[in-house]
Amino acid sequence: MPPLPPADRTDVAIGCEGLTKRFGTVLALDGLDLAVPRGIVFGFLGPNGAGKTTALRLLSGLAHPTAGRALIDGISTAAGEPNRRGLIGYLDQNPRFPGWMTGRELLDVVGQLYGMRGAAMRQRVDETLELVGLSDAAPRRIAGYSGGMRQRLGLGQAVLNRPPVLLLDEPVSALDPEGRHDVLATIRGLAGSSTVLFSTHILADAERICDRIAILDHGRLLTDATVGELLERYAQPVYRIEPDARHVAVLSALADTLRGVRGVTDVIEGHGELRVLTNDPEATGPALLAALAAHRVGLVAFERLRPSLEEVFLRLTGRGAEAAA
Amino acid sequence: MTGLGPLLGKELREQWRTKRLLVVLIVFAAFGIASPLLAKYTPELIRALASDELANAVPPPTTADAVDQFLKNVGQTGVLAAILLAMGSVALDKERGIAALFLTKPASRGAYLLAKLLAIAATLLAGTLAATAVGYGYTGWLFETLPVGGYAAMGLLLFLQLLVYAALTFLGSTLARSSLVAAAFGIAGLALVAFIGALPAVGSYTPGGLSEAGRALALGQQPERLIGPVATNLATVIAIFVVAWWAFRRQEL
Amino acid sequence: MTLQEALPLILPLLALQLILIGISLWDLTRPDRRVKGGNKWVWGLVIVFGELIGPLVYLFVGREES
Repeated sequence: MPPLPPADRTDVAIGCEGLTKRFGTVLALDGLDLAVPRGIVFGFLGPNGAGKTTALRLLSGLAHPTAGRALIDGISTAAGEPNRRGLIGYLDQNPRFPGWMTGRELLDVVGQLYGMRGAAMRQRVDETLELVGLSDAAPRRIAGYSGGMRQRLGLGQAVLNRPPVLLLDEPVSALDPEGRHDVLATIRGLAGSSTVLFSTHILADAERICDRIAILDHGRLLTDATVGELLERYAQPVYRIEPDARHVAVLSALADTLRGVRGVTDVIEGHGELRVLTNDPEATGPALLAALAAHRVGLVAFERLRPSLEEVFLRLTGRGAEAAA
Repeated sequence: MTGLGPLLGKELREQWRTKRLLVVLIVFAAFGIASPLLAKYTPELIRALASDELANAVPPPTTADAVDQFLKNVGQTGVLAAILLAMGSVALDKERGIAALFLTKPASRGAYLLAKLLAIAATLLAGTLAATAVGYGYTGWLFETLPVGGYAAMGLLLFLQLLVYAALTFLGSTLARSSLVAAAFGIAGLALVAFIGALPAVGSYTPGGLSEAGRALALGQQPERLIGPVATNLATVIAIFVVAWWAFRRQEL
Repeated sequence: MTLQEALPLILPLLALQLILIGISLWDLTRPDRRVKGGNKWVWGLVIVFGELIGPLVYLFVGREES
């Protein structure tokens, strides 16, 4: 893993230096050091209460650190200066709006705050409504919006001025699978022109669009690396073996047999199939097939599973992400 | 004061669209009408219902009674409206995360607070002017025509009085996270002001003291004190705002 | 001036009261309107029988912002 640059370098869009936040006796964030390079999508992963929201609130200038610094483009967020310069777009995990406004009116006020006026603003608001899929709902009162529509509007207000830094707290949590896919694609499309820091507890979402991932737990940074590095480093290769119906009855016996195969570290039974963990996938694959053939086991499926972040997460935090969230 | 213009525009539209402005206009106008009517017909009602002896003891209504009724009724309703308008203004926005929505934009916290207080002031001013306009008409109709300038000045002094109570509640709304605490703050402020108002020397400098000056002006008389009480109450509003701003700048949203 | 003669003067007051009740009830019966305490009937009574102050209190504190 290449070492991260220091947080105050000019190619760093989002930086944290020993960022600490204490609420009474609870240490919500414990000396977070982070340097997010420009133009990438950076995922904040961790179970609820890991400190993701706290870190985002400190970066957005809404909360003040107990110790350390949060930096946007090298500017400390403590005095709200990055906000005043329009450097950040921020989306709350549960965005709320004045219910009497329409979606368009809200974006108009936000546009005015960014100094937009007239036809240029109208065009930008139209583009943004299109981008987040709210063109039809724009003239309606926000009071009648669903949770998913509010989250889309939240993304819209965050990206309206195409800020250099986007801080998105659980931006797809209220969306259905289809909406989730669309919005993640939208976020991915913003990378390059913006640096995106987004938090989630859904690993598949992070895996899909992040260039780099940080895993937090109990206010501490567990790891910070590219998705590929994480998988290579922490995910153990797994073979999935689904025998035919005749052999499902003797699954345990089969598992015992396969435990003896070269490179196998563990065999897990369940749901009529076996999961074989190995530390030597190149050798284990052929050996497994040979063992299965020797015992004349009929197969429905035999595959090497793509390693997933779920496993990495499980190994690092000792908890399943979904269970912990 | 970054972002004051757009935020003020939003707050003023909010007063209209949530029907707050409309309801304040109607309620104030209604009390503006009711006050001279009550002054005129309450004695007649008593005379009609009571024995002759008691009826003769009831003095005939005067123009001054109409002005007193106006200051009492519109004043009481106005204080209620001022507290209701201000209690949720900042506290509810903080609670709902709406403050965070706008304050991560190029908008300073001072501008955010000022936009809110100005919008509350605008609604109270509109209500007071509506009450003053119909109150003037009805008083002229039922009693005698009073000097326009003096009556209008009474309306403005009443507005300033209400603004002090609104500002006190607004401070509570900024300090607290709940609008009920803010309302309690406003009511406590009201009690404190009433206490100070009862003191001999300083009483006429309190918001209530503005009513005395307004009464005199409406009736075409020279008020005992005018500039001092006006300056004191204006300064109070500004001071309260500065304290609210100072506190809000340090808050986490 | 008798009470009969004063009726034209009192009518605007009644009109304002009715407008206020109308606005409040119209707002209360919006399908997307949620109210404090959840019971719209209670607020309906406050509006109708609360004279001028009932609608004022409803419109200022009775409504639950979405």
